[in-house]
Amino acid sequence: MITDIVLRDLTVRYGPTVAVDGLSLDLAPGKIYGLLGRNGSGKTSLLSVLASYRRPSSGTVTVGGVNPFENRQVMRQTCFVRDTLDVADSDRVGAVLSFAADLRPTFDREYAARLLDTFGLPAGQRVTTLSRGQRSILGAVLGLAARASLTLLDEVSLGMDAAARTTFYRELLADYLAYPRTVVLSTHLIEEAAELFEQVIIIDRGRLVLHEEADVLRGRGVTVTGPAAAVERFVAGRTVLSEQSLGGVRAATLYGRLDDADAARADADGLTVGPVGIQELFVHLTGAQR
Amino acid sequence: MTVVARSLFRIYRPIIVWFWCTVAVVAAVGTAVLAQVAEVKLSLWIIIAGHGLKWWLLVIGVMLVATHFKLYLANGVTRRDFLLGAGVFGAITAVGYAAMVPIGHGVEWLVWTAFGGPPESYPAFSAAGAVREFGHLLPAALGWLVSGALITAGFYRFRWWAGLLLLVPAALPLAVTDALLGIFGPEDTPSARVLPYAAGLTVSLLLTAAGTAAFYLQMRDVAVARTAG
Repeated sequence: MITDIVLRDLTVRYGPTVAVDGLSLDLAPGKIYGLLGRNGSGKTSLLSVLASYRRPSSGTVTVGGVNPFENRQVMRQTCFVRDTLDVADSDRVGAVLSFAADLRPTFDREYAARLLDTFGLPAGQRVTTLSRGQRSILGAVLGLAARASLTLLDEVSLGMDAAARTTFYRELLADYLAYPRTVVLSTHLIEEAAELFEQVIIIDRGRLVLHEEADVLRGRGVTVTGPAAAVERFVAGRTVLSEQSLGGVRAATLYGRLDDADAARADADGLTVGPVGIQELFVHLTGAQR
Repeated sequence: MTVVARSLFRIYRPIIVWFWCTVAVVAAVGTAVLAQVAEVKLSLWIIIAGHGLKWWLLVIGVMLVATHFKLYLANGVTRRDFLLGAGVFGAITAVGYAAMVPIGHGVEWLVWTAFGGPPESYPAFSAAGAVREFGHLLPAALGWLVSGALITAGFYRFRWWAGLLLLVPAALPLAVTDALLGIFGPEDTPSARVLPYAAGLTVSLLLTAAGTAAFYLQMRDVAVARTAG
């Protein structure tokens, strides 16, 4: 079982381009992490280093106290599914799964077969004939059935339809509860995957913006809903992430916590205070820096 | 045998069977047709299998890097274990392919004998001749395999223009081994060309070993490329 993951001053460069810039992180085992970042923020480069797909340009990575690069024990327990999907296009889906099962001691063939049925992906179909969404489903099946201690899923739901994504989130959660492991899920579909996250890591331009419990992150903002005039008075002087109006009702998303006095004032003004979505906070936290 | 080598043999087994069946059918049909129109002065088996095995091993060398490397690493195999397994697979395949040529030549000779004996000019089969054929083909097979892997590794690791520059030294095991130990001499028999056999063999094996070392150095810490499968 893979234990703590520690990154210190991690930098990944491609020529003059800095993809990951002096990033330090501590990841405890047995959690689902949401790795969020805008396009080109360094998510895939970070995951590539964690999976030993590439060496960092500088800095250190340790997994269970050892350098994972070319470490047989660590790499065997690591599964990295990229959006480009590392399979042979000429193979049939069944052959791809058999190949993984031959090489991964933890791979569950029966579970993989069940997942194919659940997703409706034929085992006899060639990879080259799969649609974008079906390729993603194959990646999800490979990632889940591998039952690797460290599972890294990079944009694995790309192109999946809504039903397939819902099935994927449900299966991921169920299998994670049955076989606890560390899962790092990188996605742009933040709102619908947010319920899975125990911790959220946000990076931007290769730098760590935030790493905290998902519930703590949600508490960084509030949604205030009520009569437009009352909302307008209440939000004056605060950081407003977004606003929506319908008739005389206005809903404003605020960045920052409300203290007891603020909450009492909102209540007195007839305003409803609710939680804010991680996506809105993400947009605020990453958009402000560009 | 390593897990990787076993897995590679599982993948290539049907392809290897098809390769040799195809060579056998083409050689048999070609010889039968040739015998109808002229005296058969050569062994089609030696020519087709001897040339075919080199090109086939070159392709295997290319495939090991371009296709298989990424797939094995994506399934938790280290670079070191992949390279070791690929090396074992490649070496056994080269030995097997090099052995198939004299074995097929022997079978061809037996068939000729069963049908009244081969023409006088047909390359006679003997145990010593079979060893000589094998002794020429094995280093050639290894050289072509290593060159295929090394040429592809240059493009895989570096930018395209660097891969192009490295193409020439990467092709040396293939080119030199072919020049020194090519089995098709003036009389379509194993023949020493520029150097005596022992010297040619030594130079060929040294170049192939150097190519293997260069290949290992290029691949031992290479990043796994994001390419379509």
